[in-house]
Amino acid sequence: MWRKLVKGQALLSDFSISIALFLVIIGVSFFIQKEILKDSISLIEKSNSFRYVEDIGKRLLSYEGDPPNWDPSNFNSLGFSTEKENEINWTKISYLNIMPYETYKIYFLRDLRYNFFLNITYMNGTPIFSYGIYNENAREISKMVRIAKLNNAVVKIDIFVWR
Amino acid sequence: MRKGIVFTYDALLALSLLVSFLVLVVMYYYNTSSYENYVMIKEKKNNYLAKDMITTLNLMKYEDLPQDLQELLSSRINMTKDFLKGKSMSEILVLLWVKNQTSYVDDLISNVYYSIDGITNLNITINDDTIYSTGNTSSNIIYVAYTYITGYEENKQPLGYVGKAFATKIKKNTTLVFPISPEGAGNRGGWLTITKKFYFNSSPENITDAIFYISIHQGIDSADFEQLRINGNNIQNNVVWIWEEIVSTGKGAFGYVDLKPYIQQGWNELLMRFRNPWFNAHVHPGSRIEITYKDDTFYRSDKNNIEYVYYENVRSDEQANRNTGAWATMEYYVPLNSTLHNATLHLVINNVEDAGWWFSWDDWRWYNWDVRVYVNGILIDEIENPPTTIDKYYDLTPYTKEGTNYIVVYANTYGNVFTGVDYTEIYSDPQNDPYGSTYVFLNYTLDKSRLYYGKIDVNVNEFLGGNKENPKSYDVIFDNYPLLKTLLHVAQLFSYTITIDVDNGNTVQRVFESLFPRGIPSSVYIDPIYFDISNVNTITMTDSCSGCDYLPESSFEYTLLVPSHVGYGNVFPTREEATEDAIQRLIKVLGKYINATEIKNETVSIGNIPYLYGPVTLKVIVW
Repeated sequence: MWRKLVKGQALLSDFSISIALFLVIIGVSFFIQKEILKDSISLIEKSNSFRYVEDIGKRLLSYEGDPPNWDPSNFNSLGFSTEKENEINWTKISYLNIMPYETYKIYFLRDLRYNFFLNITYMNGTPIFSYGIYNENAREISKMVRIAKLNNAVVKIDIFVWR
Repeated sequence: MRKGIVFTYDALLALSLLVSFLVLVVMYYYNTSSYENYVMIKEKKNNYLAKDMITTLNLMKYEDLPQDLQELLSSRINMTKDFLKGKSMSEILVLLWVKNQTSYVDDLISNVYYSIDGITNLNITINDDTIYSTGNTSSNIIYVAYTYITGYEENKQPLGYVGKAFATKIKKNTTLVFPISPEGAGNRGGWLTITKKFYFNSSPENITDAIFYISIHQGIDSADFEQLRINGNNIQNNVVWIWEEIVSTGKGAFGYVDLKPYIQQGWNELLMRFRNPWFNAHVHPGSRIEITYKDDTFYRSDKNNIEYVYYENVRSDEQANRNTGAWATMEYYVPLNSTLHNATLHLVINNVEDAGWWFSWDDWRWYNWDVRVYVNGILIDEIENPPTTIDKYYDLTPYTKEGTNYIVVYANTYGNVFTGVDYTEIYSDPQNDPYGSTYVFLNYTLDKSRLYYGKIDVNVNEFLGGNKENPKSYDVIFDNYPLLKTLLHVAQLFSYTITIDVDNGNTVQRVFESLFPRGIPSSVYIDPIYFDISNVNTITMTDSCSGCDYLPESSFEYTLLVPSHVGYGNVFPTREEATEDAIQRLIKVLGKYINATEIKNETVSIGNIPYLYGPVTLKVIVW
């Protein structure tokens, strides 16, 4: 036998449905924020680190430094090209061997939360020089390949900025 | 219901909607921004690579290259090491291009950049001639960096004259080929009448040869070949039959007849009437009209192509057996990498019978259709209960592919079954009724790499020669002249399914394959892209039926583009010597194909600068 419906019962079920709907939408929203937008946000962040990759590329290939014939005991800013764009000065690159990364990182990066890594190889892959540190599991990594002349050969430079 | 409770769950619902809206706004913002960032980063990376490539090409000098490469380049460019010392790679690339030695560009690039294709896709062009490529620029987004190069060659006199020459009037021997597609019926003794109308836009006096090659399947009695007329003249008895083979279904025959005395300027009409009491009468692959004549026209490049490809008029008459029926094939082609705008078939068939239900022994089932249309093996229409006259347009654009396309029309016939009363006619009269005829309309735009300027087109048609055999191969060289089009006119007495392969000295590629048995076009378009114009190319045809030989009278038609001018050459002490040199160079480049009847030349005196080439644009394209 059905009992007579009273107003309070109807309201309780409506209220439960609306609470449930609200909780579902909030839950889905958090999921979307966390999972779906993760890649998009990472790409936006990447554009910041990519600017630092570009900066390092320019420093290596298009800037002689200040003064142009600097050495580790006398410089205002670091640059590694010869007077010709895209030609790297081997002497200047060699100075990095005696310039500890953590000390000189500040001359390459504006934001010290980031790190960088350079890898110079011949075009056939034979290694020539590397500098910096790299973590392939980093949350955010930007990479760029540049091509330049070093001594009498064309070389490939992989530049990584990460955090 | 109390008011407070109503307010609470309404508010919760509103809040839910608001949260959903905010989530959508945030998603939109992040997705748009992240996509823009992705594109920007990709663009910048490619821009840097294009710029790096062009800059390093300018930075790398001859003396930076490995010793053996220096030797090779010096010998290929025919210049001393002292002259080349200090020259950049970009200058050396231009020198290779000037000296027509671009086949060494790959060596140069791979010695310096190794596997650059592992880093990026790359094209290097000089004045839009591609000299190095890691692949087709299929991407819509390309990044270009360029430099201008100018220079001079060694061993040039610094003072004197240089000359160039243009052919302003010419005579050339060129060949027009009008193929006749496989088509027929005239079942079991009914007459098959085929009328081919073709347009010849020159005076008959210019004709050096005009031959009709005829390849048909007919009855074995000479009376079964009743008429062959050209512009009303009966030349039936002039046919020289070269190959004949009698089988249970009649006779396959191939022959030729001289049309030269009868060809007129403007429209011409070829009519043939024959029958086959044992089977249906029809045309076999290899039937074509070839006219070789003297011409004086230059090639005009036009990227927009509009063509009407007309059918022959095919009329099949009844032999008191209520078995007319007619069928016709037609091939048309679209060059590779073209943009097809429209392909339309206009089909007109007269006196179609609504034959009701009939049984197909080939498919082992009952049918009710009377007309079928296939394109590239795809059935695109099947007409049941047809009107007496079919007049229909078909949009072939979705079915049309690059290369050779093939249409088959069956009217009151299919396989070995024939219906139809009195006569069946696939109608075409391009002379008097161009828009009411059966034709294929084509509209396509050629890829810009197919556009040539300052050239003379020469159409050459060569017999394959050799033996009657299967498979059959043919070697062809093009003397480094660019190709506009290439067609293979296959001649066979009988055929089943064929394949055609081209070996260009580097790769072997299949360029044609029959889609179904006896689906053999008279002309197979082979895109010029498959040939290497600097190599010997071998075309091999194979029929799956071992007895289906290819006849030596099969022919290969190709259109060469011969330059109509030569640029400045060596420096000479006198104007006369520079002029003579330019004329001799022009005659050499015109080769055996063109006779220049009027040559214009220009000589200029040059000062202290031993100028030879440039400025040219060297472009690096990255994508």
